[in-house]
Amino acid sequence: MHIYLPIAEMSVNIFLILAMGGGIGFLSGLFGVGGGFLMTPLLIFIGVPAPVAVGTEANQIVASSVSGVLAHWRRGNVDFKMGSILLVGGFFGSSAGVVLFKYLQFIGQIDLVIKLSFIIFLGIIGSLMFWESIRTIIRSHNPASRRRKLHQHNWLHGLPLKVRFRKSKLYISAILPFAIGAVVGVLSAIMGVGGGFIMVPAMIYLLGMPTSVVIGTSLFQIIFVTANVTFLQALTVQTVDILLAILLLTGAVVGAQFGSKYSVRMKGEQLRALLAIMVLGVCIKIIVDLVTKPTDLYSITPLLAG
Amino acid sequence: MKNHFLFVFSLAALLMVPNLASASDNKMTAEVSTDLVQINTGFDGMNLLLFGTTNGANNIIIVIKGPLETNIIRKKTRVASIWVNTEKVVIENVPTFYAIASTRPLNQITTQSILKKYGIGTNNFPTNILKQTNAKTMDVSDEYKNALVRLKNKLGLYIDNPIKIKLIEGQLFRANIKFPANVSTGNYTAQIYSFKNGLLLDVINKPILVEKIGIGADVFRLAHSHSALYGIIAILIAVASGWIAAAIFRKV
Repeated sequence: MHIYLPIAEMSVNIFLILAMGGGIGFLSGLFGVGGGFLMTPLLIFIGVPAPVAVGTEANQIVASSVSGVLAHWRRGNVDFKMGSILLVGGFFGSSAGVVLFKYLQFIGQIDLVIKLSFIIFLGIIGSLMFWESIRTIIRSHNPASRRRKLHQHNWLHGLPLKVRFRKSKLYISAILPFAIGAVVGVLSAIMGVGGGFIMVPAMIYLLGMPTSVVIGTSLFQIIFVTANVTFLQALTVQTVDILLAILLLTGAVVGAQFGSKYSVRMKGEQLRALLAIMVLGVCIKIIVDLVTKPTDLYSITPLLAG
Repeated sequence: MKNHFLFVFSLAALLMVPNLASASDNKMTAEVSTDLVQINTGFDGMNLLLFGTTNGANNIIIVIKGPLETNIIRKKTRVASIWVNTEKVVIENVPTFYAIASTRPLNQITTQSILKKYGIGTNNFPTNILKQTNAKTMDVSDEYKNALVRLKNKLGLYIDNPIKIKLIEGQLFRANIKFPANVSTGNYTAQIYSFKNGLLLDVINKPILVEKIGIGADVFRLAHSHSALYGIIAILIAVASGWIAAAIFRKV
């Protein structure tokens, strides 16, 4: 059964879109990532124009994050204080990112920048998480070396404007979460992702937050950052396809519920190892795409008005 | 199926009108099954039927052209082992859609100069190649024009390998042209050329309007005329759906 998408201006199979939403929604609930880093490339792959994929995916992530955060909120796993500072940074970052996106699109390098950003961030984060989680899994089998500190202290803990975050059991500078929020916001607008795959490891490794509150807090701030991206993309380039977003989110919110239920049954380090493998897989796929000769050296884009 | 009934009915109507069939009148006649293509929510492409009387011509060529747009064609080259867009040209007056149908291969119907004069065939329609950056060769127009046609062809928007036009007893012609689901909206024209012994006899232009209707059209209009409101609605829908889903699943 086909449906015509008014903004993407193409006809798609309803069940294919619902299945894509469901599958990625499940992963989103399981790992606490928006799933945008998988969905955006997938949408482009099935023929949705790249700007529409980015704008619509931001809209869809709003829905799956709301659905996901409620489940974590009920379990008390959201640090609202930390989330608020992250999202103030996120607002600044994502607004700048939308402007940068338009410029890169104008000079014809947006695809390259998107791909390089994915390679750099997915590569670094995937490797770090994979290495760390494997080490934890090995250590848990060896009870002799089990004891660990809450988190490591480094120079980042010396910054001014210190704030106490009770839920995260942290006493750190507010500059740190603000900066992380801003950087992730820029990437969120350019890459068409919620940024959870960067935010989650940044909160664990840079801020030293406990894994239990990381996913809920990350989802909480992603809601607002992706809502900001959705609004700005709709306003400036009209690339948000509500119909496509509704189809995707119908699948995704259902999938996300199953995902977050399932995540309770899994160990943190196992989750992280799985996420790391997925992140590295996407990263390798993009590298291969960039270095192999494309089937057609030419590409076509309509000239944007204005 | 609907098209076939329409075709039979229209043929009967054409044959019953005596002055259209008279050989002395050197006018061909042509009709399109519909002059209004409406894109609704269930739109998945559409078959367009063109038919008419040849009136002595032995060959027919039909060209369907969409509204014109400006395209950027970019070319990738290898930079430090990765493939990067390095060269580009801007091409103006590019039809968004171009389909051709003919009774036999174009070069068997008439000369290249006539095809060129009337812009028949993807090699012959006039475009305006604007600027070339970093282009190493002297003239890259053909290279980029070919790339344009190839890429549009892949999108199903250019049909340059002519669709077969059926001649019935040398008097009547009919052709079926498929509009793909990704056609742009706007004013299209169907141009029907009749040839006899390589010479152009007659041309008929038929306008076809492609427009969006229904909810899809309303969504599109809202997105462009009230962008801020549209953005807010999009966010509200997302928040509500997420909330509802979470509420439903809580009870399960």
